[in-house]
Amino acid sequence: MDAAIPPDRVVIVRDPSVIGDDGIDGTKVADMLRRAMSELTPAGNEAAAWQGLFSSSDRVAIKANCLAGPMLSTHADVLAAVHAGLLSGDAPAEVMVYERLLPELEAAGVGMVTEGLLAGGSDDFGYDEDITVFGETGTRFSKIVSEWATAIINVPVLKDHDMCGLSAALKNHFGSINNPNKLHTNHCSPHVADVNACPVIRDKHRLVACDALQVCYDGGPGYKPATTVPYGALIVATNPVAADAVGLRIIEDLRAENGLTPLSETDRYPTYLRVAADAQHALGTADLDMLDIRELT
Amino acid sequence: MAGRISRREALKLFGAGAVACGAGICATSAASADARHWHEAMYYDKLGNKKIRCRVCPKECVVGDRERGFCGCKENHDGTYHTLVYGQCAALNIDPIEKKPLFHYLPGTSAYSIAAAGCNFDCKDCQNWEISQTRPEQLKDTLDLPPQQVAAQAKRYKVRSIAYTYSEPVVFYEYMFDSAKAGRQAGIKSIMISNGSIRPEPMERLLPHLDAIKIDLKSISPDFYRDYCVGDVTPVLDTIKLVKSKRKWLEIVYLVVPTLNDDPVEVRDMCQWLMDNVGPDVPLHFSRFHPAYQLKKLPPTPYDTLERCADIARDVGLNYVYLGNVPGDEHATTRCTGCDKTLIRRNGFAVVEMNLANGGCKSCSTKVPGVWS
Repeated sequence: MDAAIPPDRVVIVRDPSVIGDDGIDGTKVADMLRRAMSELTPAGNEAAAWQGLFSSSDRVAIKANCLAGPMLSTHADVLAAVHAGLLSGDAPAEVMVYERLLPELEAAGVGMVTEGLLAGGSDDFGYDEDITVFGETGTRFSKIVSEWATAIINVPVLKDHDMCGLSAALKNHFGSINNPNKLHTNHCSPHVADVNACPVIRDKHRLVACDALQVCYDGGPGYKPATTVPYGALIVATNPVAADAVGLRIIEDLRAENGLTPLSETDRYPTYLRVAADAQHALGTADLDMLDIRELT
Repeated sequence: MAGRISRREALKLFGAGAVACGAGICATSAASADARHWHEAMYYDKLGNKKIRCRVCPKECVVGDRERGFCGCKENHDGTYHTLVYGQCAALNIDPIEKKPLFHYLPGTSAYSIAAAGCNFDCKDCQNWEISQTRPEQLKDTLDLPPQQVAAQAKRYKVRSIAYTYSEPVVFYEYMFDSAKAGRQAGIKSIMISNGSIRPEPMERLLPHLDAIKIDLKSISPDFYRDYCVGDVTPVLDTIKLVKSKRKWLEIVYLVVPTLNDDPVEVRDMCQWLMDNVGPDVPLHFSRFHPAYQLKKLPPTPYDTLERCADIARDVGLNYVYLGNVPGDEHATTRCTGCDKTLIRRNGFAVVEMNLANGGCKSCSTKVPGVWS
């Protein structure tokens, strides 16, 4: 059924009013995700999208991104919307949002999101005893993804990264391994692609719902108020390379609007996107001209 | 409400697997991740925007707020760089000094040997990757052992030295530095077992508190260091020269990895570099590789390869060449360069025969380089 979702389709749903004076409007976020999921399927059927991706026997791990603290982490409302979407289909057996450390989730305000959504830290569950090697990268995966989960939803934050230019879906899985500190050399390439190409991620990955309600276009991955702007968007796709390519375009646009040098002219352009798309990794396409990009407002 | 899954509950979720997890490497978020164990790092520069540049090792990581350097055991919080492993002992043993290996330094004595999590390399053949290639909070049963206790315990066990070993002491520099000072005050010597990848300034400051250093020279090839260690050979060579210039006892280990650094030309170049820069009397240990970590597909080093390396080293002119991780004692025996008689015979890590008097051969009085008492 999930084959019904074209792998080259990326939906950007944007509603600047989702961020108001009182913060994020959770109702609008849920509506944005529903529209995006509908647009993802050729038939325009949200329920079919969820049912095609997840079954009632699944244990779904949701990878949030909470490294930067409460000001630039995956928003609780996005996680709640994803959880609600899951329940609207063939409700999975269990759903857990996870990060490296449970306190990271709690500090970001997403430790207690909604009823029935578990929250776990990889450092509590532990990491694989054995090393997984792909390409030039060796690592140990969180047991949340290697043992507990049968399916993974990637819910990153769209932001610049001062070492590799882009932190979105692919980079987010550095939070699913034990040694990310070892893998930032050479602008994280090919390590980001290698990690995502390991079967434990590749075979369980189902969906990206990138939180672009706020976007940091320079100075990330930590929170930088001067370069973090309300953007009011979600980027939804099944293919992480495609989602990241679209996210990169948004960051480049914001950099241009604010008079900054394009990432493509810096030494930290996210070359790992091209590696992820190569024949060895075969994780998807990063060529925007090859993607079916649907923009909803 | 959502369910917060505690560590205990996380283990339960695995059912029977929880038992194995609890007994194995299952992580703890106690000790090192706890802010109570933070200790401000030495040798870093504060940059703008809450960034810092670490100045302990040649990587000189620029680290943003809430991030860690390559070693994984130091973290930036609001522009202040903290070591997370100060006094957090990840491994503790009393080892024979020969296990380090140091063959010309107080033979037959024991070293109180400690380590903390982390390393500034990521060698694909690492034999201690469980502690070196991990973040401190992922380790189970880290021992709270501050420097004063290290020295006190070493004295209690009547060892001659404290060894900073197993992982990479450069990344727990502050812990090593203070332990070595405390040890010196307690009459205990300190030895550093290192990859040698440290900047000159911190090494020069540390050396007065050290008595012997063993450096793993992985290769003479920059490509090998880059591709298999995520490091750089030049700072290692500089450290070797620095240690020599400060007249501290130095021994070198070269782990011979089949097909990767066993080319005779490369081995000869390495030996010649030692001859030219450190002299003929530095002990050189060719150690046998065993498949581990990310190089499990390679075979153990053939014995013939090790013998060939030793022959090259002797041909270049090095006087004290040993083989490590091989059975038998022939290549672990120290012989007199004057009369070729056995000076020290070892069986495994045990000294079983010693024919030294006043630092020289009992038979011909030829002086033997080393620290003997």
